[in-house]
Amino acid sequence: MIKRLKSLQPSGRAIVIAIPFTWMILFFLIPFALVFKISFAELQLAIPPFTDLTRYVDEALFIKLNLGNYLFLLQDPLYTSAYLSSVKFALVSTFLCLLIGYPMAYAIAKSNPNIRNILLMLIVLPSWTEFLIRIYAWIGILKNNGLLNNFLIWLGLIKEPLMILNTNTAVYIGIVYGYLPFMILPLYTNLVKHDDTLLEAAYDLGCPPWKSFLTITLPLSFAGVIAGCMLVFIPAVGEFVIPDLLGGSDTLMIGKVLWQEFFNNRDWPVASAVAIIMLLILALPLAVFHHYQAEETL
Amino acid sequence: MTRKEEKSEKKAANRKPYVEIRKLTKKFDTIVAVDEVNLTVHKGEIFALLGSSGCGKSTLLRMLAGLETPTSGHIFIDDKEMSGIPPFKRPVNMMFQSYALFPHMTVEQNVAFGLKQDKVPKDQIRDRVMEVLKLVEMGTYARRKSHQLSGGQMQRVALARILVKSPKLLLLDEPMAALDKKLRTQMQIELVDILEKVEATCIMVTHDQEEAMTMASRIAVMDDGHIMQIGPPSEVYEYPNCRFSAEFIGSVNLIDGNVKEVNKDHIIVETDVHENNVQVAHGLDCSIGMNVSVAIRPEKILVSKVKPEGNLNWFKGEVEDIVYLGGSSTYYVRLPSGKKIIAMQANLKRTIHERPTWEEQIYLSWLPHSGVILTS
Repeated sequence: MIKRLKSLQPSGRAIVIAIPFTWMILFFLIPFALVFKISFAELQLAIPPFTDLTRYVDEALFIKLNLGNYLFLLQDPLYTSAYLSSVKFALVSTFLCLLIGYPMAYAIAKSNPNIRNILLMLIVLPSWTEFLIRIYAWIGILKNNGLLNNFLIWLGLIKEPLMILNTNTAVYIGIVYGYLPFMILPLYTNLVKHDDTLLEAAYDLGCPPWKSFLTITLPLSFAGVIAGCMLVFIPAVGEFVIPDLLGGSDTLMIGKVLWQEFFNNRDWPVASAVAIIMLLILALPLAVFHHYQAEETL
Repeated sequence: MTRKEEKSEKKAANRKPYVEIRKLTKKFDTIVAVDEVNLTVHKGEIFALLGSSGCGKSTLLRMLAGLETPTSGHIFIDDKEMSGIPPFKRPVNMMFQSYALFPHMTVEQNVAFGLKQDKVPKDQIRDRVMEVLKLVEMGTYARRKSHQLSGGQMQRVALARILVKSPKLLLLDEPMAALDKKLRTQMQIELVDILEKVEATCIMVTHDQEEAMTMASRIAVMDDGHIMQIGPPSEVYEYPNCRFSAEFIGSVNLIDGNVKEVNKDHIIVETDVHENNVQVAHGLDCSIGMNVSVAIRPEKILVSKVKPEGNLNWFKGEVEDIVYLGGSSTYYVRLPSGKKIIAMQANLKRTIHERPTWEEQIYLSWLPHSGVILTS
């Protein structure tokens, strides 16, 4: 009898697991369900600005799912091109981050262990300042009479200031700058674990150093590359602050569209539908990410 | 002389040195890891560098592979100077202590890696890889990845990976260190068989004297960057030339004293702390009064209850401890001076009561040619 009672008591293990689960349910699953619900509602001028999905009249339950919001997204080319353009922004930025981040991560991983932590610190340190403020600072750098243009004119490389701020170039600079640490850190964690004797074995078997990098180091760091790319790509697709502050009027990103739907048009149902579709677009790379994470922990 | 040594003797007789190391030195900052080492290895020989960790043996091996640059000195392999030649261009291949198998490749790809670097045609690579995998009895594991293999299997793959390139010189860094004891003994013999089959010239590094003696035809005992003694296992064991190599290989009793008499075929050593003197039949240049040590291996000492004749080559003592090992027993005997002597005795008779027992007064004796005079 006592044994039975005991088996009903939650074990320490269950409690420990329950904490993150509760967190996820409270702050992810419930808000997601709400947004999902709103995406099937209709716009109305009231508080809240959408209709109820269910109605109970004469002992009958009516559920009205409005698919109009989703159809609207398909009909209006603005949304399709905003999605495509966001994915393009994210893809190009991810690639640039990889191009810049890999050599940096490699250099840190191969550096003297005494200065390694200092170098890592330097990568993380900027994020102690608010993201928004750091992006604001880029306005000062990129604007027509900003630091960059003045410097280039002083060097004599250009005569007229370059128009960088409020262009897509500025958005790329912003995203690459903002998300570079998310590329470097997982790559570093991967590369620092590499066994140097593998490279020595490759040299010994007749493989010159540059080729050993391509045949040994690069394939073994694949999981790190995937992790870094996902950590950059996923938030970059939904990025709102950077295109809003650094981009021009023609910079089209889904995060910005979402903001406008919610706050300018106050069309919550369409905005919710936009968010749900974005989530679906990101689910695929997330699944890939998860797959490689699981593989690496093996 | 063992059969293995005999074979290598024959091989060495009509050939000049195949690997020659001249005055090789390696310094790390202020630490001298390898100090003016001279060494020659003959073709087809299995040569062991034996020493405790930090004696410079691994550094020496890595310099042969080209993974460390010597501070000074020369390495010749088949009459070719190696300095300035990077590891990927040397006719040398190394088996690493951790085996260093590429984890993202299958067994087959690991073994094929070296041949691919040499731009060998694809169909030839496949044939050669299968041939070598068969030699190390890993043919059926070709598609496995390294984490699916046991320690012994990983070692075979690591061996196949270097054998496939038929290098002029094979380097083995602590080849058995990652294996458990039982597998180790078995692999030692198997490895030698494979190496002899392909007639490879091989330099191995080990800290395990048993391993060196099982596998190598010649041993170099190293200490603190210097080579103390080079010779076939039986020579290094029976005729150590210094205290270090006597103590490093096997156990030994060292009796200190000074030379009392020098005769044509033997000398007499006076041992101040023990009641009797020691006669050593060894043609050695000694002068009277010189301080020397006499090294006597435990198995060369006879334990008996009967007092030996004469007053040379025996001590009286008390049995302090007996370790019964089945085939033999080890006696720890305390002399009146307090010095302890280890003696090993084969248990030839089954009856126990005839053997000396604890706290019994016994006599330790040995033949004049059993001792070796050490001057350093």
